[in-house]
Amino acid sequence: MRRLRPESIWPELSASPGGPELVHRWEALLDKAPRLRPWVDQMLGRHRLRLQESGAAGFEIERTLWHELAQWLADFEALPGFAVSAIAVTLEDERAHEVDPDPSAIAAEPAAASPEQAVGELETLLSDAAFALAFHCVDARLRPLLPASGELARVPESDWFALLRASARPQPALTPQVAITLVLHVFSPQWARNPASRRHAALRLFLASPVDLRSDLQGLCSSLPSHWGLEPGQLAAFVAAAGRARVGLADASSLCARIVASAKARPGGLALLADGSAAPASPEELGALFRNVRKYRHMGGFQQLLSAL
Amino acid sequence: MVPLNVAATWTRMLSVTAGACAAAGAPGPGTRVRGRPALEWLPGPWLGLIDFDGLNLAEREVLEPWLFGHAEPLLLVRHVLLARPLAEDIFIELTAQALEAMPEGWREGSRPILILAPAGRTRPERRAEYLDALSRLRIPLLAKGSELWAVREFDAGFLVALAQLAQPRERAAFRAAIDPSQTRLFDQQLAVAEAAVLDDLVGRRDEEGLMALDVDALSSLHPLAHPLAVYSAVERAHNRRLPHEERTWFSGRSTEARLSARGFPEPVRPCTAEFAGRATSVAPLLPADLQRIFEASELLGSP
Repeated sequence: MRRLRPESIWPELSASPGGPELVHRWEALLDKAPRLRPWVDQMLGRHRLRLQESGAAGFEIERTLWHELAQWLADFEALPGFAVSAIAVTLEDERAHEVDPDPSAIAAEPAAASPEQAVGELETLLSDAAFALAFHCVDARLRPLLPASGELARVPESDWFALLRASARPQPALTPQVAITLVLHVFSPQWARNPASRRHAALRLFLASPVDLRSDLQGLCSSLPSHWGLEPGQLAAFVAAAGRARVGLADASSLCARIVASAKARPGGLALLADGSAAPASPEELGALFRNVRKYRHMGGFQQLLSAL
Repeated sequence: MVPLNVAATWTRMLSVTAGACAAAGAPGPGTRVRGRPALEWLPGPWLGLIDFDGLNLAEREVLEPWLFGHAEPLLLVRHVLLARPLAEDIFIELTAQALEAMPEGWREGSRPILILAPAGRTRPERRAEYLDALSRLRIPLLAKGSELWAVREFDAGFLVALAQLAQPRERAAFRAAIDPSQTRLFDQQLAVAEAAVLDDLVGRRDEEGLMALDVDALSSLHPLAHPLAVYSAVERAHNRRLPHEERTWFSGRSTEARLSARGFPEPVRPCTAEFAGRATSVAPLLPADLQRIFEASELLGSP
């Protein structure tokens, strides 16, 4: 059996005499509401997997999928065009946007990505030189500054990453800092699972200065993520470590800009990271990048990056 | 047509779908304040004014048909009623589609107004032009003055790229130019990126940050105050603590206060025990947070 095209989302055409006509009608609908396409793709994937696991034969699976596609299409075609667009817009997980009357009880953001989705996003990002560079800068300048032992050992690296991202000002452009905070975001998917009130208390403490540590510290400790296990006597160390981490983020962003300034070519998104004002990276900084390739040689973006230097 | 840098556009698309923002600034109708979208404070859609000043002719020619042929209803379901783009002159002109879609009586009362400005492209004096033009308009929509208008900045280059990729020929050419192993991903990501950008324009993907936490805290203390008014007070309190080059001027009220210099020098009182008691019952606040939110609370009650 042949597929329509290698990247086609539709089931095997040979399994349904009405398949071509259904595809034609679906494509007309998806032209109007393109956001439906990934949803349809995912739904087909899930149903196919479920049918395979139930032991159905290949031909039967494809025929069942065509049947389901026909039913969904009839439902969508019965709606006015405007409603289809609106549904397409809100098909993403609505749980992310539920309103909780008590904000302190909001569990979190949406709906964490599945492990497969998270890995997929990471792989995609790391296939690009810009994000491979951001990854290296996190490794070179940020990770060494985070406390891995001692009294703050229970604060996971991924929590530091999430707090750094939340402390950065949102920028509607791709800059070295945005690329780095995006890498931090990809590495800290668990953060959103903390209750909102604890995330908020943690961010306030992360941005505090030493003189802020003079109020009800026991109360503050009890509002922080419980897995940190912080006591009032450890808050000063946390604030100091947070300050170092923020310096590390700024340093990592500068390093990223300097390495881009050193590049002979700017493949992928590297062109977006060039700001024209950064000095080239030092030989030591470039040496560290080349040494890091031993660790990350499987990443396509790293190869691109090195060939540009 | 606008020449697209395929690699750069592709990277930007991946970054936006992975969580980077394509627009930022004051709250939009989709921004969550205390867990509720800002649109819930006043009935009806917000008015969206997209600013084309700073875009070149080719970019405008790509963007305008896409905005008004494709994006307008998608923004409407996100509670933004789009007016004709602003150019050198600033005035409000609703499109035929907006006139048809607006709820009855919508124009007869004050509504939140969101100016969507291209990030890094606007002239320094543009904020003053917004203020001047909107202050002169004697229409019910603007009855609350600068309290209910604000600016969000968007990535103009990326929006233009998305508009261009909505055209089949451009999309096919772009698709042919990227790594063949990524064409399937491109097919999926394009629609997701478009939705993400539209969500960003209305603040629906806004994330937690210190400013957002302060807006939440102040809104808890003044639950009836509109999020744009709350944001304005918080922005001014933050600006006091920032060096000039890092200050933001997203809210109309901040812009007005700066340009009119009204009330300057601003008196800063220390946080009172009564306020501290109320505020810390809402959220655990450190002394610096408390003082900042107290100042914002004072600013909320003054022009």
